[in-house]
Order: sequence, then structure tokens, then C-alpha cells
Amino acid sequence: MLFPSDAVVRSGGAVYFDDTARRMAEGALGIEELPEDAEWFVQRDLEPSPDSDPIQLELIAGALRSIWIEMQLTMTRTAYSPVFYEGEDYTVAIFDAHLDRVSQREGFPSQMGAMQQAVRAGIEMFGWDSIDDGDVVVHNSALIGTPHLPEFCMIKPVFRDGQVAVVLATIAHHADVGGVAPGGMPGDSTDVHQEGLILPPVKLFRQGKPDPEIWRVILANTRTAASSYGDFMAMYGSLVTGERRINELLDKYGHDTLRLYMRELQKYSERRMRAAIREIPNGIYRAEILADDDGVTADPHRITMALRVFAEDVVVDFRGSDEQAAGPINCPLAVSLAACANAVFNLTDPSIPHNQGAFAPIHVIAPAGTIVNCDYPAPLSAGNTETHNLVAEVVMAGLRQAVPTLTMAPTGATTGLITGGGRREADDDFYTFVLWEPTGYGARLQRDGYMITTWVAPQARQFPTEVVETEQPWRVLRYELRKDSAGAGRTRGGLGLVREYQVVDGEQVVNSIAHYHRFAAQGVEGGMGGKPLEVRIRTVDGDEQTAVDRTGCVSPAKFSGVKIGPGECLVVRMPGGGGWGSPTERSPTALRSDLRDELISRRVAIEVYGLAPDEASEICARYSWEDKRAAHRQTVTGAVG
Amino acid sequence: MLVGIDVGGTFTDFVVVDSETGEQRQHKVPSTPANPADAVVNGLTDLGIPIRSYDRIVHGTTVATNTIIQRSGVTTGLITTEGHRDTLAIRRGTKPERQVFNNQWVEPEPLVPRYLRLDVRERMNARGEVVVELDEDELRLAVEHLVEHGAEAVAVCFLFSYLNDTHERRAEEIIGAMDVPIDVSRSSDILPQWREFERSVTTVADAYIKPVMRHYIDELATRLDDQGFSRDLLIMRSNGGVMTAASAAERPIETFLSGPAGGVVAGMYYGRQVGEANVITIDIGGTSFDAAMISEGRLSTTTESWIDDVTPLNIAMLDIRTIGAGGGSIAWIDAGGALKVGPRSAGADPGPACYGRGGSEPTVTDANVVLGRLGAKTLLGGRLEIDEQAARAAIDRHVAKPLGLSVEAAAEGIVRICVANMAAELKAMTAEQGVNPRDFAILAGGGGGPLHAAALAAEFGIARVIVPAFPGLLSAGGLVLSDLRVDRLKSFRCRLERDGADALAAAASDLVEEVVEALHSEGYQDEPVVEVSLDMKYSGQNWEIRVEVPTTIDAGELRRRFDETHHGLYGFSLPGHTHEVLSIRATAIGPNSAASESVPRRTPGTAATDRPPSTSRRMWDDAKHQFVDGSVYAWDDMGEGATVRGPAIIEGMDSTVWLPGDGHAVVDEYGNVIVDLKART
Repeated sequence: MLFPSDAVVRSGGAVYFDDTARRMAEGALGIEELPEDAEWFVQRDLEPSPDSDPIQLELIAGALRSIWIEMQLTMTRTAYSPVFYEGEDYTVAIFDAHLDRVSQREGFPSQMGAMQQAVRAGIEMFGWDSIDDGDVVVHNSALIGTPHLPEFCMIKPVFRDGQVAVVLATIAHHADVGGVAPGGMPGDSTDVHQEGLILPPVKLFRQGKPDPEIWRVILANTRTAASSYGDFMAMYGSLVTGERRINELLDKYGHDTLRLYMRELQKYSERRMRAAIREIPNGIYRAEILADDDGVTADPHRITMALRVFAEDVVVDFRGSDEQAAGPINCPLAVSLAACANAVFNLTDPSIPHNQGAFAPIHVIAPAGTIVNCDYPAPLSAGNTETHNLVAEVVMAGLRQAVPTLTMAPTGATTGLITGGGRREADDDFYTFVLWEPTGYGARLQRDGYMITTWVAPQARQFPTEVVETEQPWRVLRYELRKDSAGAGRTRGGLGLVREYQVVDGEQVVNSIAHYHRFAAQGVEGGMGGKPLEVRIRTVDGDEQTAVDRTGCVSPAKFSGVKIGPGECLVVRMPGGGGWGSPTERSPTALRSDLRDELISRRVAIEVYGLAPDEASEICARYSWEDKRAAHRQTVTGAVG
Repeated sequence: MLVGIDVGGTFTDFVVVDSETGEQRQHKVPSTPANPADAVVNGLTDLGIPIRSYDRIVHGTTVATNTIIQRSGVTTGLITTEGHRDTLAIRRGTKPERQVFNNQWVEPEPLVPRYLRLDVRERMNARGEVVVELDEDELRLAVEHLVEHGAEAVAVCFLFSYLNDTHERRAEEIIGAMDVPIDVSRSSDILPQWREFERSVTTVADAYIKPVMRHYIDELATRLDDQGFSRDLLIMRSNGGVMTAASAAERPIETFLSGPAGGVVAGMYYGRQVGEANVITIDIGGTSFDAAMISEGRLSTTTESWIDDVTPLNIAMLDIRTIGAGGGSIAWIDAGGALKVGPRSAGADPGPACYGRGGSEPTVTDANVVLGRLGAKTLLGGRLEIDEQAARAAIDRHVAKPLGLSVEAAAEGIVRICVANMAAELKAMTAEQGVNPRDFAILAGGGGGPLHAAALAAEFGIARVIVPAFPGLLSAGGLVLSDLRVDRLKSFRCRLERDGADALAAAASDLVEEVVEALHSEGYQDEPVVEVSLDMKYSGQNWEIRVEVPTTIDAGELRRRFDETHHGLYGFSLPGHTHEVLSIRATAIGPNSAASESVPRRTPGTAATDRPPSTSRRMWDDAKHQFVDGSVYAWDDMGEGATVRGPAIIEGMDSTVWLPGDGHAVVDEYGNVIVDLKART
């Protein structure tokens, strides 16, 4: 029996995702020295069972998918916090009785990747002997599985004839978990306890009945008890909905058949993932990436990666990466695993269901005590929102050497997370907010980059201005594409976004966690880099300051508790993605339409892309709404003046 | 005399009803996609009834849908609040679920390019108060810019216009006064609801199709007019009611589901005819499967539909789900060895392998041929010779051999997976509407509906399937039955516990007045049926639930109704929490008095009850996984009360009914086939 506090603090070092990685690490073999022979890899029989048939497989896969879609629906529709209902920042999943995932919502790679560890840790705390029908386990212990403290994992086993048949789980991002910063994401925490309540696995419901003591502990530790209660109930409601449907499925097919096909589905995914990895040339691909700073010190941190493709297995080796940082950019192991899988999945057919089988061929060696596998009590809130992106980028950089056509140039891979809160004047209640912005992704060989929320959460929906202003004391003055932010190239990067939040009511206290203010996304093969991130405060006089200017903090993009006064603006300018190939080779049509659409300035069109100045002027004169409007305003002001 | 005209992708269907004699006629002509009005006029001419003798022509059109899907609308501009030029391009900043792990994903282009998305000085705050006045000169400048660049339509979408529409109305006025050839769609008119992206997309879509729709309606009206038609030309709305052609040209986005809506309305009437208040209507064609619901006798509606996988369209419409699954859906094996069916379709050309027109990939129709459910002469009224060997060969080569199955087992699998895909869509629909599909009957429309309805019913334990007299003409038949109907939405935020319900009741009664007036302006003179509902949530929650309201609005009653609905949908309620109202919805309906007598019916044949089958042949039994001997009946011969026991097939002109071994069917007095799947006598 593990003493509960041990579990809370248990470091990532003791936890391995699979045997292959463990043997490699324990053998202290360099990645070049790893033997080619198959004995290093777990051998499993992936052939379809003779008792199974492909038709039943497809039918049951579809039925399971319908179930998590319904769980997702319940969650979104009953949730209380914008981060749930607008952001849809959660994952629902269906596990077998071995706690291997079978089917899950494919939206949040960070949660999808961490799900396995989070659920295992939750159940292992009790052991099956101590879990009854109707029990619901909840926890947010980031060091044993959840991505960071704001994300709670809730688990409900479904029993049939006294046996566990299926385990349902959800991980969801809550609006507040206490700690030093409202919204749960301080940019400069120095240990994990500053980041909020750490709830080890506990039973929120026992045999179907809520445990009022546990509820009181949780709700006493958040600034937003009323809405948090609603959000936990939304998670619970989603598990109950799922259970109802799983029971129908068990009635229809029986426990044995369902068990057989859940395993077949994992084998199916693993077969497809292995076939996809076989398409990647064998070899060792190395890359490294720098984190700007960590919020507590201004030093950059290096992630060093060697990726080896062996036939149908991928080993990602992070040995040589920097030690864990003083500030909150550290990744628990579950986060690094999720990020590696995220990058590899992006090179393979997206229709492969990403269950346990899809993760199986990906092996990660991440030494304990490093930035990619931190030990207690390292601060880690941004490991999930920021460093996940960097890990995915560095793996992508390795893969780009192997299969450039399937990859992309570097992305301005930051979530641009702004959190905060305060008390409303109207009712003196606490409110919190969690905001993020879309960023510019790297160019592809054949296509420009796109702009969406970054790697960690490509399905995290943006908050519309009308929702932001209704729920929070902000006025959004600007919510637009950031001109000239994309790295130029034959194909260019995606543009970042610029959003300006003006304080309309009292004073706002904000926290920021973002990257790429120092090291921008680079271009590839002669392509240019994207613009770096800027987080600024614009004073009432129109001057711009960084948080460093204002408070003397260490980082302009990672801070907490910065006060912004009435009429002042918080300005977030997201980085652009890197370009691919020389800008002078860009197709004239694409170049002209970029200028016409004011995605690039006249200057960049001429100086970077080599457009003739006369033609550039002509296009601007004809199409530029900004110019036309500015001229109009000048005339009006002139007339008045 | 009424005529319903449904323009589909392949055929344009006509159902004519003489409301005095009850006499009916049906007709089908090939569609003319280049100019859909040609087929309409051709068909009317074929029918031989003088066009001037129709009292009412009701038209279901896919012009709006096709214009949006094919991106063939006019050059459109967008005028919006300063600083918010890119709402359409940012969307909600996400990738679709199935593309999350695809870094080669292609973002869909917005309907309006950036150089035509112009932001002007004006601003409201979140309470609907003016913060910055509308800069009217800047607005004019923007309109000039758009006109200069060839825009034929413009959408005006200002922030918070759902709370205060004065700036948008003023903008519309100014544009109107500028004497420029440009159509205007205003977001506070089209969708007065928060979330600017969803509102903008919907308003832009309306603008984008407006000139196209007006042109189409003008042309159609002129051609009918030339033939002496001077009565009502009505267009099917997405909400299941009809509107005048002039209104359709004004608010074309309301016709987004005009095509399939008729079939759902028909389903409601067939349900009434046979005493079923809960009906799931399905329409299975060559490439797609449409499903919708009638719950407790009422059409089930939604406010969320999608143009593509990241672009929503949030207007009131029937909740019609469409997936790419039909007779032409192709079966294939994926890289992991799983059998998949669709969404790719062999279409009409080359069509399924059994058509013998060069199709070599196996389709659902081929599987049905192999299973003995489609006879050699049952397609296209016997005009098409079926090549069973070609069907077997295609399934053998592409499915059976690779999976190590017999051709029949593979065919059974293809049909089952196709049905499972449809069932998943039904499951999602019923879950979102919070109902249990077991409580419903299935109304099987389209050429393929009657063939698959029994299997679909079995998925849910549904006991009854209604096969209407003319399954292939379901939509056209529904058009002649439709009521006039107007829906309006008004944003109205209040907390019942804090604010009471007085102001709410007053606002609701204003809105009712507005819809009634709108209905009268559509030419309806009598007392309309009025329905009012509220979008409500627990304060702090965000997803609103629609709650029907009684004639007198009472805060306590509203709270109780909301708690009950919430519990029904999600398994819990929070009665102690604050109840918040977000918006009011009102509907005015001008009932179609001739509807009940106009439901399409088939003159029953003369054959006596329990007459022996026309022929018999081998049919595959899914439960036994083998061929059994089954009967084949000709629908046209069957008289009222004729009963059939499965396994059997009833062959009609435009579709085939498959009755599995445990089924039992009766022909009713209207010529419908009523299938009972529980009866095992």
C-alpha cells in the first residue's frame, strides 16, 4: 500500500510508459547503440483473433464512438465555465478493464496522451478490491498522470455481474483550483503547491452516493465554488450518460464479446500505426529546441532529442535535455509522452483511432529530474500548455529530416495563455478567466500554414468577443489576423492573431504563460522565420510596456499578478509560423492576393518577396481598406482641425 | 388544385391533389441542374393540367443549399465593427475533430475574402449601449469599396446587434439610400443571437445566395405567369412551413433545407393517418441518408446545422441529419483490414456494379442484389436490367476475398455496416433531442428507405415501420401538406429568481404580435396557431435548452419545466440554482386546411387478402446467415387488408420493401404498407 502522500509526489522517474523504454534507459545505452533486433520491442500478436470478424468490429467501434459523442454532448451542455462550454477543453474516454483505452474523443492531444496514466493512477490508488459499483474516483495529481493541476480526471468503472467490464473517464480543465493565481496558471510559480490544490485520487461518489466531505474539500479550495460544482456535475453527468449506453451495449453483445472486440480495436489501431511507421525511413534524427525562459529565471532551457525509427517502432530519446527549470515550464512524464505521440500521429493517417494500440509503437526515454520528466516539487503548470508544444515541435523537427513532405515548417508553438480574475463589483463574487489565442503554424511543402490553437489543443475553441465581454470585465478592441507575422516563403507560414483586451471595470490582475517571445519559429529551405510573440500593456497614453517594464518581473511572457488599470489594454500578438522555400519563388497569384488581403505589408511584398514597387503600390491603392479608411479619417480630422 | 414540386439532384417530382375530389396524380421528370426552372415547367406541361387552374404551387428547392455547397454565390462583402474584420477567418480557431492529427489539413476559405471584409467605426457594449457612434461616412466609404470590387450583396454584422440593432438598421437605411445595386442582409434580422462568428456566417450565407435566389424565383414566377398562373407560389422553408416566393427572395437562408423538409412534413401526416405521434422519417437515396423526427405529433427543430465541418449555420430549421450513406455507397477495406461503407458513392454514373454501366466497386445496392432483396427488374421501374453476376464479382473481389468471407456473408456485412452508420446518426439525433428511439415508428421514404427500414428498426427495438404509398415521392407529397409558418427569435436575458417574469411576458407578447403580423403579410388571414418557447439555462451554465411555455408566463412554472427538461436530457437537475432566460422564440402557423385530405395515397389493387404471392425466390436471412425461400409480391396488385409474412419482398414502382423473417405487413386503406416487426404469429 502506497502512502497517499507518496502518490501525490511520486516522481515521473519511477513511471515508465512501456518496457522498451525502461530497458533502454536502465541499460544506459545510447540511441546509436540500441540493437536493431526485435527483442527490444514488446512482441504482441496483432493478428485478428479467429473468433472475431471485421463486420462486428466495425459495428462495435461505431457504437463506442457514439457513446463518447453522447458523453461529450452532456459535458458541453451542462457545464458552467466558459473553458468547458466555449473552450470544450476536456476529453472523454472509454477504457477496458485492463485500463487500456479503447476509444476516446480526439480533440485534445495533451489530455488524450495523459489519459492512460491518469486513469491507472486513479484506480491503482485503491486497487480493484476496494472499488465498488457506483464509485467515482477523482484526482488532479499532475505528477502521476493528469497534465497539470487545473485538469481533473474523473473515473467511473462499469460493472457487469460483479466484474469490471468497462471504465469510463474524463479529464477536464477547471476554471480555478486555488493557488496563488486566479485561473490556476501562474507564470512564475517556484513549486507545484503554489499552483493550487493537489487532490490525490479520492472517491467523489461511493456506491452512487456523493461523499459530502470530499465535495467540501474540493469546493473550499476553489475561488469559483458554485460554477466548479456545476462543472464537476457536468463531468459526472457525462460518465453516467456513458454508463447507461455501455450497459445497453453489454445487454446487446454480452461481456465476453465486448471484451474481445475492445481488444481487437486496439490491435486494429496498432496494426495501422505500425504500418504507417514502416513508411518512415529507418534512421536516427536529431534536433533540439530552446525554451525562451521559465518565468523565474531568464535563462533559456534546452530540450535535446534523438529520434530513432526502427522498422515499425519509434524511440524518442530525451537524454541530454536540461534539468528541470526553476519556473513552471516543466513537463510531467505524461505530458511529454502525449506530445511525442501528438507529433508522430500527425505524420500518420488521421483516421486511425488513437486508442492504446496507436500509442504502443512510440517509446519515450525521458530521464527523471529533467524538463521533460520533472520531479516533485517542480512547478509544472505550463508544461502542459507550453512545453508540450515545444516537445511536439522538436519531434516534428526530427521527423522533417525523415519525411519532409509529410511535415511542416516550425510553428509559433505557444498557447498564449492569459488567465486571471478578481471580484465582481456587482456581487463581490470571484470570477476567473482562461483565454488563449490561435497561432501561426508552419508552412507545408505544398501549402501555406494555417492558424489555429496550438498543438496541445487544436480543438480548443476561441472565445468570441461577445462572450468575453458578457462574462468578463473586458472590452475586446481588436481580434484580427496579425499582418506580416507569417514567415515568408515559397509557401508561407500561418499568421498569428492579435487580440487587444481593454479593462473597462476596475483593475484586472492577469497572469500570462507563453513562449516564442525570444526564439521565433524558423523557416525551412530558405523560408523566413515567423514574427515572435508579444505580450504588451498599452497605457492610457498609448505607450506600450512589457510586464518586465512595469513590474520588474523576469519574463515578458510568463508572469503572474500583473495589474492593469482602467482604460489600459492587454495586447497579445501571437507568433507566426515559419515559411518554406525562398519567398522570391512564391507564386505571383498567391503573393498578390496576400497583399490585396493585407496579410502582408507593401514593404514586405517589395523587400522580402521582390514584388515591383509600382505594382505593389497599385495593388494597395486599389484594395487596401486600411489605407482608404486612414485617408478618410485624416481628411475628417483635418477638416475638423 | 394543389401541386407540390420537389427538385432533387436526379429527378424533379410532382404530386397533384384536387382538394375537392381528393383525386391525386404523381409525376417525375429528369432534373435540369443548369436551370432547375426548366424541369418545373416541363413537368407541369407534361401533366396536362392548365397551370392557371392551380390554386397553389408549393416548391421545394435546393438552390440555396447547392449555391452554398458549390460555392457558386455572388461576390459578397461584409461590414463589421472596427477591429473585427477577421471573425470569419478566425472561426473558433479549431480544426475539425477528424483532422486533429493531420498537419496537411486545408482550411476552408471564408465565403468573403479579406479585401471585402471591412470594419468601420461603431461600437455597442455588452449591455447594448452605444459606446462609439456609427461613423456614417466611413460606412458609405466601405459600401463604395465593395461596389467598386463587384460585390452584389453585403452582410452587416456589428457586435452586440442582438441587443441593440439601431446601428445595423441605420446602416441598412444608408445603403438603401445610396442607390447602389447591392443586396443587404442584416445580422440582427437573420440571427439576433450572441456569438459573432456564428451570427456572421449565417448572415453572410444569406447575403451570398440572395441575388441567386431572387433571380431563380423571378424567372420561375415569370414563366408561370406567362402560362396564366396568378395564385400563390409558395416555397418550402427549412422549418417545415411554407413562405411566399417573395419572402424566400428576402430571406433565402430560410430555405437551406427546403429540399428535404417536405418529406418530414409528409412523415407527420402519415403518422397521423396511422395513429403514430412519434415518427422518425428516413429518406434513403443513391448517395445520402436523411433522417428527422416528429415527436408527439410535432416537427422536431434545431438551430444548428453545418455548411462544412468548421462552419455552422444557426437558424431555426427542422432537425434533419444527413450522412453519405445510400444505395450507391461503396464498400472498401481500410489499411487495418476493417470493412467500411461510404461515404464515397458510385452515384448514378457509373452507378453500382450491377447496373452494368462500368461500375466495378461494390456498393450497398450490389449487396442487396446478392442477398436476393432487389430483384432483376426492380430498379427504375424495371427499365434497368440488373446484372447479378457483376454485383457478386465486385463484392467477391473487393470485400469477400480480402476478408476470407463468402460473397453472401460479405454482402450481409456491407448492408449491416451501412445500416449501423445510419443508426449512429439516428442515435446522435435522438440523444441530442433527449428522446428514446424505441418510442418511435419509422417512416421509410426514398428508393432505399423501405429496403433498410426493418434492419434500422431492429437496431433500436422499434416495432413499427410505415412505408408510405409513394416512398419515392415523399418530399413532393409533403409540400402540398405544409402550413404557412413564421419563426422569430428575440434575445431577452433575465434571471427568473431576480427579475420575475413580467417583463419577459411583455416581450413575449410583442414577439407574438410580430410573428402574427409577419404571417398575415404572407397572405394568411385567419387566426393563426401560436407557439412560444424560451431558451433557458441555469445561470452560469452556457448551453441553452428550449422550453415550451404555456399561454400565461409564470416564473415558478417555467422553473419547474426547465428542471424537468434538464433532468430528462442529462440525468440531473439543480432546482436551487438561478434560472436564466436567454431568448424568446415565437412561431405563428397558418394551418393548411386541406392537408388531411391531401396525403398521397395509392389506389389499392383488387387482390384479396392473403392471396398467394406473385412469385417466390431465395432471400438471405441475416439471423440464420443463410438463404431461405421468401415470397415476392407486387404492391400494385395488393388490396386493402392484404397481409404479408416475412421473409418477403413487396415490389413497387419506385421502391422495394424488405420484410425480414420475423416481420408481418398489412396494406392499409390508403395503400400504405404497415410493417409490424414484433408479430410472430
